[in-house]
Amino acid sequence: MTLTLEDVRQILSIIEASSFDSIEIRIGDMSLAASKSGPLVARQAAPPVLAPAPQPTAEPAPAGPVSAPHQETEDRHEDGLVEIKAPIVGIFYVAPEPGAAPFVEEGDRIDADTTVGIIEVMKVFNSISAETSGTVVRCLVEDGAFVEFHQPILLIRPEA
Amino acid sequence: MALKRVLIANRGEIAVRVIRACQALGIETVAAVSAADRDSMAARIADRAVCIGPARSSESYLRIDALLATALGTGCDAVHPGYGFLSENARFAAACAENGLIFVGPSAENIRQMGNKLVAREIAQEVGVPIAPGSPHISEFSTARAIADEIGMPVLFKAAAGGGGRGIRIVHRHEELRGAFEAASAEAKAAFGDDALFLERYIGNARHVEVQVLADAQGNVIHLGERDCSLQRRYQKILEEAPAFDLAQSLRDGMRETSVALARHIGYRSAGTVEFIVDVDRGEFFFLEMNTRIQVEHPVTEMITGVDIVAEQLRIAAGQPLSFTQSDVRTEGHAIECRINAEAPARNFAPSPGRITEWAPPQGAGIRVDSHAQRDYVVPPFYDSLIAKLIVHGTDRADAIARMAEALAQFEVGGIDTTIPFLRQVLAHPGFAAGRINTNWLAGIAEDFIAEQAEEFNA
Repeated sequence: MTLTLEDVRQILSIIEASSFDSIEIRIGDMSLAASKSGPLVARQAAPPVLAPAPQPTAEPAPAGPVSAPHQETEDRHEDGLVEIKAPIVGIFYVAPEPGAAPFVEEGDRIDADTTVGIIEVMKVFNSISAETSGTVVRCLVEDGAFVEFHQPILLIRPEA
Repeated sequence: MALKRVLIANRGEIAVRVIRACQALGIETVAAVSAADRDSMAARIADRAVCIGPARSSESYLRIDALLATALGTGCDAVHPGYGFLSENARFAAACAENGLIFVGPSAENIRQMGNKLVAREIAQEVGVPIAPGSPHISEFSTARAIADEIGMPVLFKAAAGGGGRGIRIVHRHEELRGAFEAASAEAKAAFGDDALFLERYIGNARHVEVQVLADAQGNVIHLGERDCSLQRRYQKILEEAPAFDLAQSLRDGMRETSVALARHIGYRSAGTVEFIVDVDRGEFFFLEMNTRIQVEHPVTEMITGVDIVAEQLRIAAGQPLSFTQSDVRTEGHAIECRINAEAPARNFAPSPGRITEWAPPQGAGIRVDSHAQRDYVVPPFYDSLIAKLIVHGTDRADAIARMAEALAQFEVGGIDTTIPFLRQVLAHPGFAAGRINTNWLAGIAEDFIAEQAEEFNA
């Protein structure tokens, strides 16, 4: 994928006419960042994620199956750990069937294509691949818990 | 039985509206939000927010499986679909029922019936709702000519399989009929894979009038009077009023009675709206369609009747009877709603997403603002452009117009373009104040406005 000068001109003129202040486009390993009002904010390797909405404290949280508190943070932790996130909403299972050994446990070494769990969405069972190779530091979700889209499910120490 | 916890399967102002109605009834809410709406007002005010997928609505708000998994995973007993998205999707309503969830709306069967133009027309006809002269399904030119001869000029063609305003052709003279028929068939074939056409009398001086109905599981069906939604641009409503003014009582009664009869006939349950086209010159009304959901413009009816339509919808879904009868319904004064969209009217109403840097909605007696926007809110580019509904209540139409003009003058929004400047112009127009409006009126006003703005820009 390459961008011609004309493509860049067109992108810039679209941004100019829009009410957005800055834009960042990524296509494969190519990225283009532009800002109308000054220098772009310095970025880390990972895209920023919106901070979680503050929970209203006055209102009681609904009872029922509630997953572990979900704190969306940067993909990369300060100590170099990486989160594997749920690609879909649904029920997370750590093992292929009830009573079976879990797909992964803390301390396991995993590859990008290692299955780390299953997410069930209305009777459809989706295998979840690690997408990252490294060592499992912590499992963040219990078997049978409901997970949101992009909820962290595993903490990985990536291979150097 | 009362509802305990409702999944809000929508976004924007209607998500906020439904959450507030639930809160007033003591019902817990779970907001299903896309990744772009994690920070939205609905996500903040609901008891819980769950991210169900990426920003694109085909991967979030339109995903039946993700919404159902979320409702079940968070212990909801009901799902409110709002308007748009899956609100008139019979498969979604059926899937809710199959999974033991209450769909806050009518049965899947009713959604299917009213969602199909031909079936809806047939049922309306059975009940005695007037149908515009014409034919809903024509494939041969000879048939089209015979029908056109019978009903007289002008007529309009549109795709039988189509929706919205696509491919509409208006024919004023007999010699233009064949050309229009052929062009419309070709367009229908290209757009929908079906060249069958819908042919009916074209009503040039038409008003769009609709009747709000409420029906409970016990078989009580009532109406809350009518709304006028004639001010449309490209088939999108821009301004709505209640009641529909300057209509003969016989027309009003006819629309109200046939709406109730239609809802009763199909065993309807929930809030619904029966839409009509009123031929102003002939003093006749004809069935358009029935919308099987809460509508954007429901607040104008609420303002003049004092009925909370969303709360009634929730009670009906829980199996409770309506809390009042037809004779309890009184209307008072006149209400107008303006849709404030994040659009640049001067640039042909192009979408104008981005960060709202200033947000000062009008306040005061008789003013209601339904909105999910506030200062520093970023209007995402992925969804429709409605950011607020401004509703005012006056003693009569003239008073409501004066109040709306004042409210629009006070409404300040910065950082994005909105339809407010255009709406100010509409409210100030003597033709609007005089009630000389029809479904074509706003298009002309919009063209003038765009031209004026361009001139100002170039001056």
